[in-house]
Amino acid sequence: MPRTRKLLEQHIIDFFENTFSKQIQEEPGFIRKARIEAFQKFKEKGFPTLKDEKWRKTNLNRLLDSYYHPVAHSVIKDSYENDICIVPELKTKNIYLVNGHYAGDFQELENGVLLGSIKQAAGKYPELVQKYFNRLTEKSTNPMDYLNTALFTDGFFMYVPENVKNFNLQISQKLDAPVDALINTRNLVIIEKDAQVNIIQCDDSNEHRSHFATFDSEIFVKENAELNWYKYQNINNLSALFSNSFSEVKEKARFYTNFYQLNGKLLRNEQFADILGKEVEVDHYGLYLVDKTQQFDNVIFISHSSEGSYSNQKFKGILDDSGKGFFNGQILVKKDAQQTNAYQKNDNILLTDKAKISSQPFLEIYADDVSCSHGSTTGQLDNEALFYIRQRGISKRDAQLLQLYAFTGELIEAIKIPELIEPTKDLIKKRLNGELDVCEKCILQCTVPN
Amino acid sequence: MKKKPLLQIKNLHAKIGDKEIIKGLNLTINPGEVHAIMGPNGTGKSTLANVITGKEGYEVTDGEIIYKGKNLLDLDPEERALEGIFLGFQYPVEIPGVSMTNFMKAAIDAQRKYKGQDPIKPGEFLKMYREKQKMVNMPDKMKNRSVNEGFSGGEKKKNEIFQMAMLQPDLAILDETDSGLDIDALKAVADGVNKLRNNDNAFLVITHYQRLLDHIVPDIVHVMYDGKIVKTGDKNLAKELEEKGYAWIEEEYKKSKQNA
Repeated sequence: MPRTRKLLEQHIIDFFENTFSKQIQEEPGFIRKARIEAFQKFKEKGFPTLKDEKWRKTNLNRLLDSYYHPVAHSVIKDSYENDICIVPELKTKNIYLVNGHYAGDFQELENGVLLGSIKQAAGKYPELVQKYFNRLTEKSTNPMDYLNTALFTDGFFMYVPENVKNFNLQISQKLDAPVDALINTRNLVIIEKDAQVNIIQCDDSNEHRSHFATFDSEIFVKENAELNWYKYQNINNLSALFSNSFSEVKEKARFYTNFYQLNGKLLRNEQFADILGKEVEVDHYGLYLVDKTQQFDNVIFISHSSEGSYSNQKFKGILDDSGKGFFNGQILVKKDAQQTNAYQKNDNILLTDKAKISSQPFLEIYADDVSCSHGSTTGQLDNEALFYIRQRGISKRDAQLLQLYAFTGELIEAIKIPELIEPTKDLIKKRLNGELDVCEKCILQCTVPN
Repeated sequence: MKKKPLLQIKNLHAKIGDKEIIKGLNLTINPGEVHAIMGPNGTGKSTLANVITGKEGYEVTDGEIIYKGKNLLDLDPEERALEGIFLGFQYPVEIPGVSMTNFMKAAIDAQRKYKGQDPIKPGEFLKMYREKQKMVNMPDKMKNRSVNEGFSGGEKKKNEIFQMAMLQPDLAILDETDSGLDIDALKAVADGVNKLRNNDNAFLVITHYQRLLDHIVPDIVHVMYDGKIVKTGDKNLAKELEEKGYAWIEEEYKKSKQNA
């Protein structure tokens, strides 16, 4: 029996069949094929519902009853140089992703790094792109990934050759549509052997439009390579952003993420990491600061397919007002993945009776010689500590802020780029203090001292 | 000329939940005085400290507390602190992630703001910090640690005295600061208090034992029993209690109650 489709779902299906399928005629065959297959799956399955295991706490109904317009290329400005997402003292390349489009030229750098639009890359380096594109997303059963593959407009492509060290990239993603908009961005990152890369990403939006955005990244970290990815998300209270990353991490490689969910109507980060080699280290850290009626989700899946590797998930959240959070952390240790060390921790502070967190650890272990642990805590601010601090003359509000700020310390201490520490602290303080606005420019720039 | 009292407690009654703990307590403390309150466990000594400093969970059902001429019970805990009341906690609380220096800087700046002054300059703050650390024999490395986190019992108590030295209160209440201290730590604590004593401030030392009072010599000693002060004397009263224990106090109190 055909299910009743939500407005957005029907709209997407009509748009793909009537309009988008004609616009992609010129695309390389492997991309078109991937799109059509993904579209068929989307059409069949539709958006996730509360019946889906990982969506039981995340109600999309209100979003799906709205109309979001696909954003055409013409609304992109020529230059975003003035919107540069800059952390001073950091030597970085800067790129801009605006409404699902890549703003700027394709760059072939002296050190061999390729950086530019994924669509341009598919034209210039078809073999390279075809080798990796959709290899990881193809296996996903999440409708958000079907949607992203079927309808992505563009995104960034980065290829870092062997041995390139200390390559730093800043990404400014802007949701800046003139109308309520559906935005799908697709990225591909390939880090070759022994290379070392830092990515700093800011997700921003304008103040007044509602965006429904997906942001999918496929990430390949080759033998003994290192990728560190920092992300700061600060979009308006009308917009939803679903960021899914799929990574494949090879022997002795290090993949590290530290994500800050600061503002938005609905922010959901899903990270899937497949460990394919010995002595790999995967660290996923995250902080979510939720208030009003916001909801921030983190869904993590780390698969240990090889022996002798390490993974660590550490997520912390502060939930105020009627804010909601959802943490689902999965660790899979396959039969041959002996001597695996896999850890997971999720700590939460609820500031009101109405704030809610659902924290779900899920460990699936088939090897017998492993060290795994998980833990989850949910609590209120410590009243004894509050009185102790106030007894020293510090106001109740400041005493609370001091404690909340301290709670976030563990994640700040995990930042490996010294220049990022102060701006991150500043962002957190502003957010806890209720002073963080959606910026016209990048959020990190908002916070740079004059 | 006689000084105005710093603290006047008149007929104080206070309860936690349905249980009355303070049952008609009177106490007057003048500037320059050191008072000791002694008494067996569970007679309301710590409750008194908590009521004076404004801890939540206590209900004052009768009586009043006048401090520097103001009704203290109208003030929030932080306002009482800013007015110069300091509590040395019996069980200092650990605050993970908040470093001692950040904590003290926030406290000093709150005090300065209250007085209409600018935040303290970092250099001036560190100089003061080192001086006071030295005064209570606290190693410098402790300033980077989180407040009380991983401190030994003795270190926690010294840390209370250190904070008192930093904040220079007008009325310091030390709640069982001597419990769990070895003799060296006890001396360091007493030393700190003695250095801070002057004609304008006052101390209320709550203790079980005479031993702290060998080092901090009180002007006035009170004995608390059943939620009120049942006996007041000079430092010799403490010695008497040390020799005879509290049993005779209890008996005297029960007798007087029967007679009444």
